[in-house]
Amino acid sequence: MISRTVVIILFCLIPVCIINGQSGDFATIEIFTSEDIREAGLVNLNDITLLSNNIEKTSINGYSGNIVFNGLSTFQNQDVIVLINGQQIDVAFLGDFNLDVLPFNIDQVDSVIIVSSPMYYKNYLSRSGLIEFIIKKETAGFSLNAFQSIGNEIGDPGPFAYTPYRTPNVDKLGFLAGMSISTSGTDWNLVSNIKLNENFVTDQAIRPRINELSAESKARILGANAILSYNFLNGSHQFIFNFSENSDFVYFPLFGNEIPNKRVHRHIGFNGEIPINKKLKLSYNITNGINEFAKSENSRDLNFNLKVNSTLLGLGLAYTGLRIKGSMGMEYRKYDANRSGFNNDEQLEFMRSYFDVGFKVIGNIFQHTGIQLTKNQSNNGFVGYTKTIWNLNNYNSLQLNTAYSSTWINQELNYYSWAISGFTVFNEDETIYNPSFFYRPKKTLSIDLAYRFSSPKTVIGGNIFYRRHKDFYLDNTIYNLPQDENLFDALEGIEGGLSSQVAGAGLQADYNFSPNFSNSLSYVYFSSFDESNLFKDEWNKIPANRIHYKLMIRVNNGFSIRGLVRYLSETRWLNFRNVSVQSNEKYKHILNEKLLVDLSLQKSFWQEKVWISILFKNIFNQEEIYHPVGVNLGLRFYLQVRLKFDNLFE
Amino acid sequence: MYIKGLLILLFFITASFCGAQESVQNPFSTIGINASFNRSISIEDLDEFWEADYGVSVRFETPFYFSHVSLGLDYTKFTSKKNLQPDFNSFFLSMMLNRKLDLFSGTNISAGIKFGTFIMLFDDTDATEFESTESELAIGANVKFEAPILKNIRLYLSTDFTTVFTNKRMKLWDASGGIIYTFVTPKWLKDFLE
Repeated sequence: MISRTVVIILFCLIPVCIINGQSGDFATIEIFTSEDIREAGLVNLNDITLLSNNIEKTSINGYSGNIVFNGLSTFQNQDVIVLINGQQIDVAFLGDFNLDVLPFNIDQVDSVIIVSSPMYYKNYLSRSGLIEFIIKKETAGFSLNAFQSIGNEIGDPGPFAYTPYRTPNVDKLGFLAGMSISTSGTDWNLVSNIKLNENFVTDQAIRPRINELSAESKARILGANAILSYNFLNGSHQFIFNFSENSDFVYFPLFGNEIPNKRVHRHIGFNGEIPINKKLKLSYNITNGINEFAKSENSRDLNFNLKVNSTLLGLGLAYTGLRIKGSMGMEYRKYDANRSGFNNDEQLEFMRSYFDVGFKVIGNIFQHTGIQLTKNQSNNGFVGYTKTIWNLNNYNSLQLNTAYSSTWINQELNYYSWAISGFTVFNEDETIYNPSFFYRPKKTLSIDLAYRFSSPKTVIGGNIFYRRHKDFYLDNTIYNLPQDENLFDALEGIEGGLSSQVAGAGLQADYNFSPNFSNSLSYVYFSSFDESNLFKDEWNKIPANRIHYKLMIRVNNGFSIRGLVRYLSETRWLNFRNVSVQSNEKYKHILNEKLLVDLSLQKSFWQEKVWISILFKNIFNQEEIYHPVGVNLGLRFYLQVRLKFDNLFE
Repeated sequence: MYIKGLLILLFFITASFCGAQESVQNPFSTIGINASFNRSISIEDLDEFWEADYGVSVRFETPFYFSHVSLGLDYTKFTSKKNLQPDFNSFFLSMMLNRKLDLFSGTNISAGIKFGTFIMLFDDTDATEFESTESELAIGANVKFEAPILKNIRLYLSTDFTTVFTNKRMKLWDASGGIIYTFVTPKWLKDFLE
């Protein structure tokens, strides 16, 4: 009833709503600026998924979690490509996708680019989506920026802690602090960031499980990075160094509980472009990185034991002509995995080659086509796509994207990629699955068709999408909660050779009442037509209906108010249905529909040197749970302070 | 509940926007220092265990685009009625947005909403420093009547209803009376605020 009313109200607004347009690829690339980020009151890097209408996220702890781009993959399959200034960074590790391991704060991001369909983007053909962070850099003198955010979730006992009405403490959440300095010369620019994030494990949905294994009560990330950009040989070059250490409690689905864990992330890389002539550019990419799940003390001695050293060497050539542009290149990549206390390393080597071309066909029709081959031993992975943009006239455009990918299990670099060769990364006595379906490639066909009406002030857009997945494997773990225990039992299972079809549609519209007063509305519908019950269960974890409504008031350049209303329909997690009964409904396997309202206010002081943001999330304190055994976020309040001192010592 | 809440939110945003068209010329032009004595009228569920003593408030107020904005601190001491509960001091650090309506002879009445953090310091000698301090989000409504008594000084009477979002909500209703001293904002401070 609630959902129907909300849908009717919001759709009545569509005829009066108009969108701000984007040029070029309007259907699959979204760009969000630092102003969008600040006005949205985003707190951490994982929150950038809230900016896009094409991403759905699940989370147990309220910050990290798994993401899905409009049915391109499932929550189980996290192979989204993440770039910093065009350089690829390995963020997803053993199925854990936590953007906050990147060693900079949300305040240090100049823009975020989100690619939500398989296509060529900066030397990469993504299969399941791509996110690029562009880091802020100052152009003159010496700059200093600082950021601090503190948050509080409601529900502490207060003085009632001393009365019969005593309840557990909820405490504060999300302490974030960071600082960046940048300086530049004639042909170079140096940016350096440090960050500290702390999250307290206080929610009663996760605290008993975590405390069963660990005495620790907070997750902590400490990170630092440096980015040096320089011009040399008439080209532009970049050096990136990242380091972060994350003490956290990683939920491992095959175990069914959080494991106290220390993740170490290191990255060092060079990339750049050198012009050969006016039309040809040579690009290169050399990186080395380490991802490690290191031992962390816990009462049952449950630990991951995996350190992966990655090396990448890439070379590309880009041609830009009057009517045609194209790119081609090759890349060698090696992942060297080792375990503390063992001598036998496991190595995965890949050779990737790609080719992409874009040209004007006739009139206002532009065509892009690309392929990528990835070779590992005798297995060949493949991604191919075509993109057609047809500008019908000055106001109307159509875009059609089609893509096909074929992926082998070792390309996914998940738990099974290592386990199939007998390489245990969790417990030494864990059961290793090695069924025959692991030796067939997963295949995905995707089709996206989008339409946009655009005038100088006005755009209305709509899209439909279709995905066909074949020969997929999925975990089929059933969870139980034994009586009087806090930890779940996981009855492991895996099925392969699964097929699935999903389709959906979206509408998006913005309307600018004036330059200082705008609103936007988007709706995404998603449905599966599955032959496999397991696949159907997996898609049921994603809301079939999602609505976002944003209202922005800029009173002047220094003061703005933003409201966000989000509607997410019910989701079902059938592998937790036993837990629901066994916990007397403390944990529910059906997550209710959500109508969430956020409100943020931003005010600058001292000629924009000081920014203060106040953010209320879920102001009507509705149940906000994204995973059956995850936290209930409820009403929470954040205060963010940003300091920005530019052009010092000039 | 959802629809009612949404309508209230949309009303406030719309009202704020419409207001911005009228009074946007003169933000931060003056500073008003408010000082008052407070008396609790009701503390609802807390009343079973504590009684609220007199309190004091200090607040700094300035015109702000479509309304007035103020930052303030309200202090109240809660005395335990029984031996099982410790006394505690509360400090409500809040920001308030209020709209004023001129009445007669220089008087005005205003209504506003305030929000902030409600800090409680317990006189519990057995607790650690971490356990003896608590803070929680609080949201309140305020109605205030002001009357001029000297050129820059005004007398005011106000009442506040505040909800502290503890697990079992604390609902506090106060009355207060005090004075406001108003002066033109120094240029350096106005430059900073703008």
